[in-house]
Amino acid sequence: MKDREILHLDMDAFFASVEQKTFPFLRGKPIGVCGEGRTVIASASYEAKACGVKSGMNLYEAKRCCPNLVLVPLNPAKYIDTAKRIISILLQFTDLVEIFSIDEAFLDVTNTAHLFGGAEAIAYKLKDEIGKELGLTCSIGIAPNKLLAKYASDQCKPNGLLRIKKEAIQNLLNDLPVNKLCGIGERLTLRLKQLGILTCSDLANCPIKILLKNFGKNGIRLKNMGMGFDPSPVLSYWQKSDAKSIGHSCTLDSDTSDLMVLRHLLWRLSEQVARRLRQGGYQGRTVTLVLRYSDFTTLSRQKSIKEFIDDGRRIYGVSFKLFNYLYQPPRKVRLLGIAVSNLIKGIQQLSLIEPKLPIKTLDNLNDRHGEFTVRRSILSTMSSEPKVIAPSWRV
Amino acid sequence: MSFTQIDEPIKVYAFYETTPPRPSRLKALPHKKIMPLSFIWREREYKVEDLTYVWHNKKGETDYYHFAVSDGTNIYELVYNTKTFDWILHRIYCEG
Repeated sequence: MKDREILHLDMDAFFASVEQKTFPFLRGKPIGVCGEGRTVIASASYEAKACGVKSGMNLYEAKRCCPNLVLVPLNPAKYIDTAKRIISILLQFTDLVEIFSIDEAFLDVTNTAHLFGGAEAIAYKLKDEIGKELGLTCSIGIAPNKLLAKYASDQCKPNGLLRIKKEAIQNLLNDLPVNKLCGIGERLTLRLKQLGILTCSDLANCPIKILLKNFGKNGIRLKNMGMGFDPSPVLSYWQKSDAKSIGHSCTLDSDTSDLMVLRHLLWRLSEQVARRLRQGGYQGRTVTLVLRYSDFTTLSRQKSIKEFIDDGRRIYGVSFKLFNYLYQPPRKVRLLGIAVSNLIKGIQQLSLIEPKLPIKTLDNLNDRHGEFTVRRSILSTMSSEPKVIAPSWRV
Repeated sequence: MSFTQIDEPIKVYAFYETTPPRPSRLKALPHKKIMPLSFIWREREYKVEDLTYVWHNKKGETDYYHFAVSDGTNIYELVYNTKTFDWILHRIYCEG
């Protein structure tokens, strides 16, 4: 069986690069793309990164690192459209394009590379076309599996191309720290360190019994990772997997204990979740509420009900009860989140008490005129413009 | 960087070009088919020196195309409504 040829494409400083392409006076300058109100840096240009600015940094920290940092407002619609155009370029080379995030994708070109002159030729063609079509750069890693292809693209940023051949894997992993592998974060690194595992070869050589005892079934995956082995397939772009849960959360512009504000937010989140459930043809019966206080203490609680629901009012009803259970006034709240899980698809459970016709009409109107054009009166002050990129962006 | 929200109707002189269809599975977005050459806002004509970026979004069933154009100093975001064929000046972006 021939070795797989997997590409991992990673756009360079994606949002920031798109904004520098849009606004010539930002080119060459340290910029940070961020949302409104209390927010973090979503994307920093390479000039900003050179000053120590990182994605996820709060604005105060970012400005301290880089006093000349130019803040640019987030424009989700622009990035989503750009991502879709990139996907259309990727699909020219293979159907096996798995979107990892808005700016990353895996491609399996094992069976199509010969049509284009090989995997490296495809990678160069991708960089060339994305550059010509959009004026943006990307970094591409090529390897026999997804794990190593992603590692390779990380190593050659920005605007790079790196191939890891099968015969080079052993040498590469010998002294490689475990946290360099995608899927091993800070907490897992610490737990592995406590077991004396610092490098990939330590992980590969660790007896499976110890890994299973400490990490359960995940121990097998970890051992494989240590050996540079990752059999996971690149899914076809056209294959849509069913959702396990659908949720929304929101960090408030300022921490508050104002119950009116918190209720309003619960309503909004309930309606957003309900809308996405209906769009996907789902109903769910478990509602989970997440509440984060201003000191970052985070609580969550869930409740399963008998019926499957997709109605904002019902979701609000359950989540409000959960909120009353969790919330300790007058502590200030920073974030609320609602998710519905235990989903079914395609089977509509109708309630005799609440007819579905008005909701269907509401959905039809919002489909025609835009999200939340028509909404409950309690949400009249809500903006219909999205401030974040929802996970359903690729639909 | 600062911007001013305008959202006023404008008249646009544009060059329309037919490009060959791309071999793509997804719907081809005509980003290169419309090139604004100048526009008139509040009775003043602004010549477009450069088209820096184009993107598309949808609100309900209506498709909008956003064109970021430069007059050599500022960037103007022109928005084309494909349902009504109207243009508006959405925002003006300035350095500083």
